[in-house]
Amino acid sequence: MAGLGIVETSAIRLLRQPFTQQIKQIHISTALAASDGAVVDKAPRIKTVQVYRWNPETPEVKPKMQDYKVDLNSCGPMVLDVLIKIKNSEDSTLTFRRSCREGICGSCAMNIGGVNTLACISGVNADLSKPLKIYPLPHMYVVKDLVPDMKLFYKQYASIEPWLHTDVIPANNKEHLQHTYDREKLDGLYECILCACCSTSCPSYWWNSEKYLGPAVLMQAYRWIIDSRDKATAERLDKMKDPFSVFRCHTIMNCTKTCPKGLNPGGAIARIKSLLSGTSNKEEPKVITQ
Amino acid sequence: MQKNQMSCLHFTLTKPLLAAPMMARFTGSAAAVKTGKNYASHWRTERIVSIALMGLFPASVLYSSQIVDTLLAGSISLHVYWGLEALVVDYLRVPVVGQLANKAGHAAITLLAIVTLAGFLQVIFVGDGLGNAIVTLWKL
Repeated sequence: MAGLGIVETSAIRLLRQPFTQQIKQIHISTALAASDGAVVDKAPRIKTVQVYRWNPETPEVKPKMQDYKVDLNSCGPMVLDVLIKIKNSEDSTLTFRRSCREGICGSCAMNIGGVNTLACISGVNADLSKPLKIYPLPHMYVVKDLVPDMKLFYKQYASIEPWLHTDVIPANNKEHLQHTYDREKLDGLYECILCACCSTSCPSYWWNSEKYLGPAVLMQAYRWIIDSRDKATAERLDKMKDPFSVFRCHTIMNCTKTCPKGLNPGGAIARIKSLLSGTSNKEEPKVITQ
Repeated sequence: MQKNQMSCLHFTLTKPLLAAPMMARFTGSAAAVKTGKNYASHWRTERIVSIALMGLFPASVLYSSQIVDTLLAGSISLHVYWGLEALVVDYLRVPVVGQLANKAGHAAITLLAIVTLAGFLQVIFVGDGLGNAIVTLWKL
């Protein structure tokens, strides 16, 4: 091997190894090459992160904002990455909910820089002069740190009975068929992940959450009200005709503005109001011809 | 037999809403504290008055008469009353400020609405009309 250069020697070493080892080797070398470059042209970008802290085990200590310093170069781009980085390397007592890290589970809903959104799909502002402020969802009881108590929210969701109510026996005895025209009405409604960003951005929900259902739950109520297969439309509407369930909505549209999924709960509430007041009516289901 | 089983399964899966005993299990105070009052027609009246106001303002200036002015005065008073009532319901809540302050708030806005209406009627029937008053205000 004496006559071979360094490139040839490493090539032969690579060929002698089993396949999985080869792959690993290649991955490591590319990663090293990439990180070498990063170290050369980037100084540490230290971002101040202020996180709301409260521990139920020390209730005499008032809630406070705790500062952390995070180097954005050694961290993923999203707010959730920053939180995980803090929990892993700085402070393991920091508590928050997270699961899917791709905006489909709704666990990491929190108030980031004054806006209710999902930590996993909101990027960290690269401006290092401004601190990143993270609070739990506003006006909710706090279980610990960034974890809000969702009990009432889920109870309200259950109260609208979010499942199909019908006494029709489907023709094929298996499934309730729906015309594509009727199915399209559910678009923009069924995508809701119940993260509660909208409900907790609504002042009416802050002040009257015991009686007002809140935008997220109302949008799901509307999703079942207009479902062409559902036969309990009148009962569903009858349950929310009181002054609080729906009509506490003052149409300020915070819900629609904040929704991390880009849905429009405010519009759905307006349509419930219009159905309730008789200004519009639910359409008859379209007949399916097979 | 197969078909029979299927329909049994179907009925257990989709209970009619009114008969569903699940309601009681899930809904606690959230549903229990609601009043049975129907607010829908009230809401519709509010909308109609709001929309009418848009036409009544120019109408009272252009065709100033006691009828148009009285309609405008009534609509404004109602509109103001409902708007302030929403404020009382949202910001003078019984668990926060107490029963007395809540009642006082309601009484205050009712009084305010009555005084407002009385003032408008004074201008219409004793003074020279609401539409003309708006014009005079504008000239100032």
